[in-house]
Amino acid sequence: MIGEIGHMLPESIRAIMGRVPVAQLNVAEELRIRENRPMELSGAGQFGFIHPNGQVVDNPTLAYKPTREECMRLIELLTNHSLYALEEELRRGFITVRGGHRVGLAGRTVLEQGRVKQIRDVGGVNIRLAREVIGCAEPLWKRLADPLTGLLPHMLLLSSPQTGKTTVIRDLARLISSGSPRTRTPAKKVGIIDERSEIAACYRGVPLFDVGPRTDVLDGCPKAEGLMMMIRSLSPEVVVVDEIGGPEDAQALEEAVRAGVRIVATAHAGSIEEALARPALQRIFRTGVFEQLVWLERAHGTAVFRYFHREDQSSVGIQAHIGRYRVCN
Amino acid sequence: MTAGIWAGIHMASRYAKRPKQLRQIRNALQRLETEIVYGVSPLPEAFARLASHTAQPFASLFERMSASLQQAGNGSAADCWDYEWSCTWDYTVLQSAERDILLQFGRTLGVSDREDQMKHLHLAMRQLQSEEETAKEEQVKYERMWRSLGLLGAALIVILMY
Repeated sequence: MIGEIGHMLPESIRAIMGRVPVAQLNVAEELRIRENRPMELSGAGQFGFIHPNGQVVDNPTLAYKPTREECMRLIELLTNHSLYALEEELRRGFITVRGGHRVGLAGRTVLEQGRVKQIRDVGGVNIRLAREVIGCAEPLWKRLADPLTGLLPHMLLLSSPQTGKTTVIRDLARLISSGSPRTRTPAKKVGIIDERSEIAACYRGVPLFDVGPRTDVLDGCPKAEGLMMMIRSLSPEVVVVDEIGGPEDAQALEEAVRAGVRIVATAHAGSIEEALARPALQRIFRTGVFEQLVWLERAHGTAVFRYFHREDQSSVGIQAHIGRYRVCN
Repeated sequence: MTAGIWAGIHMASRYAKRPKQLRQIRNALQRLETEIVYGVSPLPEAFARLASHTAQPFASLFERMSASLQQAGNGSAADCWDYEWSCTWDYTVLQSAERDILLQFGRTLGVSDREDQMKHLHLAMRQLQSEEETAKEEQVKYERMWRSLGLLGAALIVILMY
């Protein structure tokens, strides 16, 4: 795992990471490097600090503390020596590096007319390791996809951060665009609007992750604009978008639904109740776009899905009502 | 006699080459500006493209620069720039004034936003232009002088020997 981002770490840090036990690296999800503060590795619900000898320890005082030079060097390597080429990313506070790994930045923000222009003096980075888990969305796809048409209802995948939403919809896109010869489910044209280059991890416009044979990707494109661009020019049957919730998303989604495509989207929420109460999402729920909400949880490393139908739809095994949605299993 | 003339021509050509090389670098920086400010290409790509549009010895300098930026463990862009120039100085006729300008410029390479990069590029180009003007004046003054000096010096030695 570290091998993939190894070339983006300064030599000293790379050497330490090379000594970290492989078992720990395999479950690692986040590597945090903060200037003059302990280096942290977390994953599988646990965290630890990295000792200069590579051991993951609980005591932060024993941990390796990267110097200012190392951090500056790290930023140079992460940006491919070209900070100027990442202005938009710096404004949003993260950059996506080759391989689809997202690097969040902490530091001092520079404002221009009251809005964040960029982050300067980066004091810490959080490298989120992207992972491809082929087959993780299979239960979801088997349940929701119509075996005859291969299409899904308009669905929104919700979960708390760091649960694997992006991993799941990446695999879902692959499944939809591959279909299944066994059940004779046809493959569908899929369009991914990958605003943060996380779903498909495009490098020069070509996806590095397996997103299926009939998938087109609009890399780095804003969702609201991308939705209509996609529909007009690439004629997808299913559109996949990540992390909706922006003010213009509701309108764009409503527009897209009526343009005859199925929507697969994700959003952050602490719980399904919180999702229904989130002002940004409420605007979207009010439009009634999504026929199906799916709550994603992780139990012992595997994805667990809970399904919520819209009230006007018939469903079996109703467990409870939440807002205008019913819990089913 | 031949050696004398050759020495004179060699010295003269140094004065003729300097404005030419300064102009080449300035053009290269201009192209780099286009790549950075308008093309927003990453530095390794920008240098690779620069290499194909510049004459030697700078073409191979930019090519090596592009390669070493893509290699892990080669230090910052400024380090690469310093190192690559240190390998190239002997093949150029540039003087310490230009060296200072270029190395100073290298420290800012790729580490700031586009606006800032543009300012540094403009500054370097302006400074190089003023060096170029001085170099041209020197060319007018000394090029012919060295050429005749070579011939006359050689003639003097020949006369003295007999």
